[in-house]
Amino acid sequence: MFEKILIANRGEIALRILRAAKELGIATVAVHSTADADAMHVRLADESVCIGPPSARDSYLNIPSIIAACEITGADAVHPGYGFLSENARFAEVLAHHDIGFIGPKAEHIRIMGDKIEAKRTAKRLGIPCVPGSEGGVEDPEEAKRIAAEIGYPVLVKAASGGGGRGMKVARTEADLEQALGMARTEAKAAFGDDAVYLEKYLEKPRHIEVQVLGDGRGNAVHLAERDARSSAGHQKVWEEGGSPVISPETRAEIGGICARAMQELKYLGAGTVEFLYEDGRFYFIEMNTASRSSIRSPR
Amino acid sequence: MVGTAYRRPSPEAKLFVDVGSKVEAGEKLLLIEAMKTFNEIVAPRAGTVTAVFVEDGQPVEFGEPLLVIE
Repeated sequence: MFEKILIANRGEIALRILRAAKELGIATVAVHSTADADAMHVRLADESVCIGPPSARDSYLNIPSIIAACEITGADAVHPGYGFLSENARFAEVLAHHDIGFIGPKAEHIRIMGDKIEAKRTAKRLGIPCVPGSEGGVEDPEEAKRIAAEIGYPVLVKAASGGGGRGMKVARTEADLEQALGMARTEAKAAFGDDAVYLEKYLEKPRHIEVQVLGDGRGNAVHLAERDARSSAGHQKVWEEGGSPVISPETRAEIGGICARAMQELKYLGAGTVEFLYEDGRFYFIEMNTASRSSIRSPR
Repeated sequence: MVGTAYRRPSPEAKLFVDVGSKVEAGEKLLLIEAMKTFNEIVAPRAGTVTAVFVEDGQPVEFGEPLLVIE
């Protein structure tokens, strides 16, 4: 067990981590920007280090400062909380390079699931049912038309570096496809710095159901049931219901089992959320978040 | 910056500066080490060192005053 952890976050998640560490007898280090010098997480931690000026980019997202803070306090692991650097594969790798623990999924899994094309490929390999779509990225409009004809319209052009409902364009007919492809690529480049896109069948009114998983990194993993999410226009979730109203216990066990077995095979470490679209009684994998997202929407 | 402040270039060497030292702009005052990289902290202007707030080998955080040059 760690003796001292640095919490690379602030606000309510930093407080919850502080409380958990206290219960476990682990010493804590808070980091903060100059603007947050009097914040509660700073006052309640055993030690604190000021790591930068007010902007998040120069403080909470500043990897060298956070590593230096670990060095001067002797922290042996970092808890990244959620948001900020919690799903940043490079951060996890840099920490490993410095022999500092990262309390979260393995860097390799963060990287795989961060690239939506790679995520689908991996999901398929692990036996998780996916939305029918292109095998990989699509660049050429003629190739796109061929694939779309196979999948069947309407189709969705999605950014490989997107996720979370961003970077998607619908094409209802072949006439729309070339424009949708171009626009999606331009927007993806601007928003995510990567214009790689792929195609998926567009489901008109699916439910969005996600399965929570937890793994120990050594091949043991379980599912912790599902949440049914409702979204606003713009594909942003407005609420989640623990225990979907349309899922029977048998279905829960079946899809939960598929996810748990996949995580066992990956030797997944930590919490994760496997996201599906659910329509006409069938599940279709869309992406996986290498984090426990329930904490963002339902603070307890 | 965050790191460990050193007042000498190496453990057996003399201090870079002390209270009373006269310095030129660009003169080395301290080293701050982070992630095995030593960063030189230099005088922003010429003057005299009137106060030093850190000890050799002391951890420092962002925004922490290091010394005063008048």
